Amino acid sequence: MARFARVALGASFAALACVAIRGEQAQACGGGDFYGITELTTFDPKVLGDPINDGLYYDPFIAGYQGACEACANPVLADWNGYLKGAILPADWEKILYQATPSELTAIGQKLAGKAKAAPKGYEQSSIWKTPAAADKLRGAIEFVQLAREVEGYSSFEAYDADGNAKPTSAPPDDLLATARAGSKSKDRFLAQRYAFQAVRVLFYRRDWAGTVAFVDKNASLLASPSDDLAWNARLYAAGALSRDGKRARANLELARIHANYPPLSATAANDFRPAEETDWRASLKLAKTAREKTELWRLVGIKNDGVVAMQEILKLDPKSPLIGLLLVRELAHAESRGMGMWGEKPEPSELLAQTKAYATLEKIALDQIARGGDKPWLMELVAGHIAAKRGDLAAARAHLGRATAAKPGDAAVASQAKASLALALVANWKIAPAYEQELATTVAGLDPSFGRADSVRSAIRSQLAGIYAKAGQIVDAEFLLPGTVEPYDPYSSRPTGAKSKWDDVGFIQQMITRAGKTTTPFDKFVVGSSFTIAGLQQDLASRYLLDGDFATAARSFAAGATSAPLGTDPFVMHIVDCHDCDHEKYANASWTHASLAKKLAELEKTAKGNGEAAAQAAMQLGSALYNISYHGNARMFLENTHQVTGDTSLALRWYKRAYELSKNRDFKARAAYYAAKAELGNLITQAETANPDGTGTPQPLVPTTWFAVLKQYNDTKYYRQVLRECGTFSDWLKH
Amino acid sequence: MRLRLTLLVALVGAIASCTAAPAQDGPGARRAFYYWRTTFALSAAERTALTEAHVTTLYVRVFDLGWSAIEGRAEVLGGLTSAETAPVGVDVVPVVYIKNEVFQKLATAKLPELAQTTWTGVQARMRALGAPRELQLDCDWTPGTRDAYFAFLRHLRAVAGVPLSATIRLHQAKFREKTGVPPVERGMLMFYNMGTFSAAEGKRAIFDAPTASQYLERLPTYPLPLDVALPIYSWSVQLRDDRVEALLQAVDPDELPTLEFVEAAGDDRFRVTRSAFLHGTMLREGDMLKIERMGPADTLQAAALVAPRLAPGSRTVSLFDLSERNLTRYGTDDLEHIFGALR
Repeated sequence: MARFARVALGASFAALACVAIRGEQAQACGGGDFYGITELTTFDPKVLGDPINDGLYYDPFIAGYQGACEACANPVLADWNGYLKGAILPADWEKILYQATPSELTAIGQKLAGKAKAAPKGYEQSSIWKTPAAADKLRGAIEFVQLAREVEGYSSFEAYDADGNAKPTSAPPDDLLATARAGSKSKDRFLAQRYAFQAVRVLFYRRDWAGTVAFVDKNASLLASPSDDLAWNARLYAAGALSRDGKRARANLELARIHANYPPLSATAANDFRPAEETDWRASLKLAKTAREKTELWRLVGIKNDGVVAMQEILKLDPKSPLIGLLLVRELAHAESRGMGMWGEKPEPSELLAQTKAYATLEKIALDQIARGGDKPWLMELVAGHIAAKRGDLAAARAHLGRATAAKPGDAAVASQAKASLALALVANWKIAPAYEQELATTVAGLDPSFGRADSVRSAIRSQLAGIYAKAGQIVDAEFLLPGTVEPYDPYSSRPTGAKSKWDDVGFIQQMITRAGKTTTPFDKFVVGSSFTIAGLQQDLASRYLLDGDFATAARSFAAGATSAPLGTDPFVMHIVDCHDCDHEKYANASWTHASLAKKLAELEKTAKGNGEAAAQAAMQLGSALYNISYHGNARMFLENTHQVTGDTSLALRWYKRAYELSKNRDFKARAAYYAAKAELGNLITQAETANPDGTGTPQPLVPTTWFAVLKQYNDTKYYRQVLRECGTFSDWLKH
Repeated sequence: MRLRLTLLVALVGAIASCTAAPAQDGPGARRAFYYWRTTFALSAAERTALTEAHVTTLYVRVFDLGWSAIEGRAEVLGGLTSAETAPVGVDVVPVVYIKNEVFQKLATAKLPELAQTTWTGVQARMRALGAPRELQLDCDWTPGTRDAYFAFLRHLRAVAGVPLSATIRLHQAKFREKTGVPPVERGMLMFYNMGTFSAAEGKRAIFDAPTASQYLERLPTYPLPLDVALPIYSWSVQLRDDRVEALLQAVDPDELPTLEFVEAAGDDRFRVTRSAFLHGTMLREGDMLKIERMGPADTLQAAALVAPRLAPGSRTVSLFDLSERNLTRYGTDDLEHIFGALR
C-alpha cells in the first residue's frame, strides 16, 4: 500500500496537532509554522500579577520590548480632560487637540477672544462655546496647542520618510524656544509644565544636548507636576540627550529610574537602555544615589542582558529586593525554551546541559530567597516547585507547590500554575495506574480557562504520556494522546518511513472508535477529550472498507454517520491525460459525496459481478472511481481528512481487467486496456516513490508495458488512434 | 593539531601561487572593498589603503530592508549618512541588504512598490557619492522566498535602469536548482561565512577550507558571471557551558589581551574572570571568548581555493570589509598578493 496521503500527514504531524486534520479537533497553537514562547514554555509569567507590561516578559521571537497596552488610557488626553473639566466635553477637546488645522486653531482662538463671531466650519456645535466663563482658560489652552503643533513639525531627526524619500530637516527656530520658555513662567501650573516640556523638546530637536539636560535639571520641580506623564517624558528626553552627548553613565541611570517608576514608559526605557562598556556601567552604578537605584539599574541589565547576573547583584544589594520576580520568571522561560527548537526539533545535547545548569541556578536563587524570607515567597515556592517538577522530583514539587498556593489563597493564576507544574511532575514519575490517571486528570481539569500556558502544558503531558502508553503496548490510548504516535513518519522529508500503518487495519480503527466513546473516568475524558471525533474516525473506517473493496460495508458506514461531504468533482470521469484541477473546476457542483459514491460502488459491484456488456460497463465505472480516489486521479480528496492512503491502484486495475475481459466491443476493450495501463502506471509510480522517497533517483520514464502491449492489439480502433494522438508515453513506447 | 593547520596553510599557499600564475597574463580583476558602516567617512588609513591597493570600487551598504510587524510593511533600517564624498577614481556601488522575512511576508502585489521605493531610497542616499552605475542586492533568500525575491529583482531592474548584481552564498551556488538563479547581470560570490558557530577548538565559521571545498565543484558552471568577495574580518564568539551564546562582531580579538576582566585560556580563546560589559554585551564570569581572525594567509588561501573554479572573464574582487581594525592585519603587500591571486 502506497502512502501518499501519509506524506501529507507527516508534515502536519510535525506541527503537533496545530491544525485540524483527519477529524481531529485543533489544539490551540500560537499560529504560524513555528513555536512561539507560549508553546515552548509551561510557566505562565502572568502569575506575577504585578502592573508589568506583558512586553517585558521573556520572548526571544520579538525584537525589543513592547510598550503599554493600546487599551490603556491616553495620558495626554486624561491630563487635558482633568484640566478642562467643565469647560469643554472630552470628545470636542480631543478633536481640537488632534485634528484641528492651524487655521482652525487660529479661528477658534479668535472667536474665544471675541475677535471673530463665526465658529470655523465643523466646530459650530462644539461645546467649546458653551461655557463663556471658561473662554480665557480655553484660549490659553488653544495657544498652547498651536505651539505644540509647531514644535511637532520639527520633532524628528529622520532624514528620510518611511518610503525612503529624503525629507527636509531643520532645527526649531529661536522664537519657538522663546515662546516655550515664556509660557513656562505661566502662573497656571498645568500650562507652565506643558510649556516647559515643549521647551525641552525644542532644545532636544535643536540638538542642544547640554541645553536639554540643563533645562530639565534646572526646572525639575516645574516639570515634575501636575502631569506624571509629562514629568517622566521630560526625563526621557534628558536621557536621550545624555546618550547622544556621550554621557552614557547618567543616561542609563535616568532610563533605569524611568523604567522602575513609570510603567507606561518602562518598555521604552528598556529599549533605550544600552550599557556598552564596563567603565560606563560602573559609573552608572556610582551615580546611583541609593541601593534601590542600583537595583533598578541591575534589573534593566537583567531584562536586557543577563538576568542571572542581575539577580545575583540585586540580592547582594538588597536581599529582599522586590525586583527579582520578573527576572526570575524571565530566566525560567529562557531556560525552559531551550528544551525544544522553534520548529519542534530536539535541541542539541549542549542546549539540554545548559538548560539543566540554568534550572539549578534558578532553583538555588529561589530556595535562597525562601530561606532568607525574601520577597514574594509564594513565587519562589512556585518556581522551585516548577523546576522540581521538570526534574521529575515529585515529592519536592508537591511540597513547594503546596506552600505556594497556601501563601496565595484565592489566586487563580497561582493555583493554575501549581496544578500545571504538579501535572508535569506526575507525568515525569508516571505509572499506568488508576490512582495516577485520576490525579492527573483531576489536576489538569482544574486549570483555569485564563491560564496562559494551558495548551503547552497539555501538549507536554500528552506527548510524554503517548510515548509511555505506546511503549506499554496501549497504542490506541497513545494515538489519542498524541495523534501520529502510531504512524511513523519523517517530519523533515515528509515521507513515510515505510513501516506498515496501523491505519490500514480495520480492527485498529474500530478500537479507536470504541475508545472515543469510552468516557467513564476523568482520565478517559482527558485522553479522548481533545483529539479525534467519532464521526471522523467512522469516516476513516468507511474509507478503509472502500479501499479494501468492501463497498457494501463502506456504504453502510457512511449511511450510519461517518463524515461525508461533497467531493466537488465527478469521480467517474476519465481522460487520456489526467487533469485533476480541470475536473474540479468543471464538476465543482457535482452532487457526489462520500456516502453517495460508496453507495454507487456497492450497486455497481452487484452488476459488475454479472456477465455481458452491462457488467463490463459497471466494472469499468468501478475501476474509474477507484482510480480517481487514488492519488493519481481526480477525486483524491475523497480520502482527505482521513489517515487512509491513496497511491495503490491495484483494485482499479482489477476492475478494468474485468471490464476488458467481459466486453466484446473492440473500442470498449481498447479503452479498458488503456485505463488498465493508467492504473498499472499509477502503481509503478507509487512503487518508485516508495523505494526512492527523496525523489531524486527515478532513472527513466516509467512505462506500463503489460497493458500498453494489450492496447497495441487494438490499433484498428478509434480509441486507439485517440490515445496515439494524446499520449506521448504510449507513442514513444511504440517507437522503441 | 596546530602543526597540521600550519602544514595545510603552507600547502594551500603553494597551490595559490601555482593557480595564480597563469592568470597573470589576463587583465587584472577590478579591486574593491565592502564598506559596511552607517556613516560614510573614510579614515586617512582607509583612504591610503584604497590608493595603494589600486582599489577602484567600493560596495557601500546604503540601507537594510526589514519587516515592520506593527505597520505590516517593509521598512528601511540603518540608512547610510554620508559625511563626505567618495575618493576620486573610486566608483561607489550601493548595496541594499534585504532580510528574507520581507519576502516571506510582503504581498506579491506590493513588490513593484517596494522596488520603486528601494530605488528612490538608493538614489537619495547616493547623492553625495555619485549616481549609481550598478546596484547590488544582498539577500539570503530561500526556496520559499525565491519567487518573491526574483520578482522584486525584475521590478527593480525595470525601475532602476542600471545593471543589478546579487550576492550569491555558497549554498545558493551549489544548490542552484532548488534556490534558483537570480535575474541579475552579475553575482557576487560570498566566499565566507561558511561554517557553523562552534565552541570546538579550531572550528571556524568565517572561512574553513574543507567546508569551502564542498561547494566548489559546480562553480564553473554557475549561470551568472561571478565576482568574488573574500573575508578579511575578525570576530569573537561568546561561549557558555561549551555552547555558543552569541557572536560578538564588534569585539576585536586584538583588544582582548588588554582587558582586565579576561585572561588567555588557550590558542584561540580567553576566559572571562568577572562579569562585565564589553561593547554592549554582558559577559558572565566563566564565559569563554573564542576568537576567529582572518589574516593575509587565510584570505590568500581562500583566493587560491576559489580562483581555479571561476569561469573565465573579467570580474571584481572585493574584500569584506574596509575598516581600520581589519587593515591593521593587512599591509599593502598583503592586499596586493590577495588581489593578484584572482583574475
